[in-house]
Amino acid sequence: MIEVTGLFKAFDGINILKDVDLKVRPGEVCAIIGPSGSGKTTLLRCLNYLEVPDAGVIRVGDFTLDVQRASGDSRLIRQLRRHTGMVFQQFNLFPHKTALENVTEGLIVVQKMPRAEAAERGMLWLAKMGLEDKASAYPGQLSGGQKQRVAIARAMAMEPEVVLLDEPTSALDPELVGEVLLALKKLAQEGVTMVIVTHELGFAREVANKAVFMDGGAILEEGTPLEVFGSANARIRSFAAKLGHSSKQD
Amino acid sequence: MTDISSLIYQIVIPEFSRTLFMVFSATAISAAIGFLLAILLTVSHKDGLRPNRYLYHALDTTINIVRSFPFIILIVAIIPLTRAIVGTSIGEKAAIVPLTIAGAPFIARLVEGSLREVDKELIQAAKSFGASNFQIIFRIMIPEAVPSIISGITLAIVAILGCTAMAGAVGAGGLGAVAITYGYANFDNTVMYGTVFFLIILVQVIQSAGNYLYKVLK
Repeated sequence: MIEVTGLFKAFDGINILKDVDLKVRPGEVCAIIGPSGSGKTTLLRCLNYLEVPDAGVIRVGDFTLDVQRASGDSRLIRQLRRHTGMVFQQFNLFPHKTALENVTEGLIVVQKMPRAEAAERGMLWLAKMGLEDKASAYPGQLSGGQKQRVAIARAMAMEPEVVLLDEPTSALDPELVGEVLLALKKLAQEGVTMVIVTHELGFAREVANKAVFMDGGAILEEGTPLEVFGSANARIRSFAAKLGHSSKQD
Repeated sequence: MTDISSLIYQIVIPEFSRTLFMVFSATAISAAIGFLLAILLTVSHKDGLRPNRYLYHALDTTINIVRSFPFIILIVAIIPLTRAIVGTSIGEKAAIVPLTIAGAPFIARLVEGSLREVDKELIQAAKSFGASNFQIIFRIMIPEAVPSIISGITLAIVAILGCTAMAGAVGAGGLGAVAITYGYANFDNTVMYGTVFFLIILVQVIQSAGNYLYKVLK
């Protein structure tokens, strides 16, 4: 469960997020869509403080953080981050570590888990991502889709309350997108709570229970994917039409 | 002309061990101080983990000032400090003080560069796990930067070796002193070029060892 209320964020005096409220229930998959510059990535990065919000309250599970009271309290911020997992557009894997070491790094360093136990859990998640045979491969030896699946395993191994995914397929070659979406679909079926910034409207329609359309730093429309994509709002219609058109060309 | 074998056994070998002693003690102490300075610089930099303008500028300026001293002037300028630390300003132990004072800021800059090259995305990934700044520095940034730090330290060892020759000129002993006193001042080209040849081999060995380590760690 993740809930954010009254979230504000400005960069150099320009308001990027204007009073955003969002609630994702346990086991829900929430797709955040919208044109570039609408603030969707900033919203996602504010949820785990990779961007520092200016105001708002973030609640993950039973942990609540009030931005204005927590500012500068690195202990609270670390606690918030331990409740959330993050998957990045560019994978952000450690290049000098094997796939398994990438997955176990956070368990060993942050959660202080014994190495053997961390390796066991790491293998479990690599296997779930269909990568048990790549455990000792380095990121440089993996395809983009495999790298992103290692990154998903890395986020999941920490057993976060919610996984945040920032355009997880945008840096992939078109033929590799499917395997990552399939892996995410499996997680969704297992009841993993996810917030995902994506341009894959087809995936959002199929897997997400909830969709949010952002524009100009605010949420313009939210509901089930069908409701949002079928919205009468002209801004959403033109956006969906453009994406629909380009995805047919792929 | 000097007899080659007695030159080697009586002068070059003892002085060679003095050179090694100076180079490696100065490198070890410089590396320890340099590392600490580099970490402080990286963390306090405006894009660092804990930006602090005042600390960064204080360190940055101090390092630049120390690095502006020509080494031969530095040796003389800090004689009182050297005496206070070692008790004398002559000999290879005394030379370690100026060698360290010149070496530490040099290594600090090299390590700072290596740490700053660590991909910001990796730091973000570590942050997203909830890693503390301490964990990010010691478990992510330094391990990722090790190959590049090794090649920086190799560069520093060779630079410090060059400085020992200058320290030799003002009484520190070592191979540099041999080349100057027995070779240059005695008009004995065999000794001078012979010593230089010895130094060339030493630099080759250091550089190859550094390159090898870099390749293995990469």
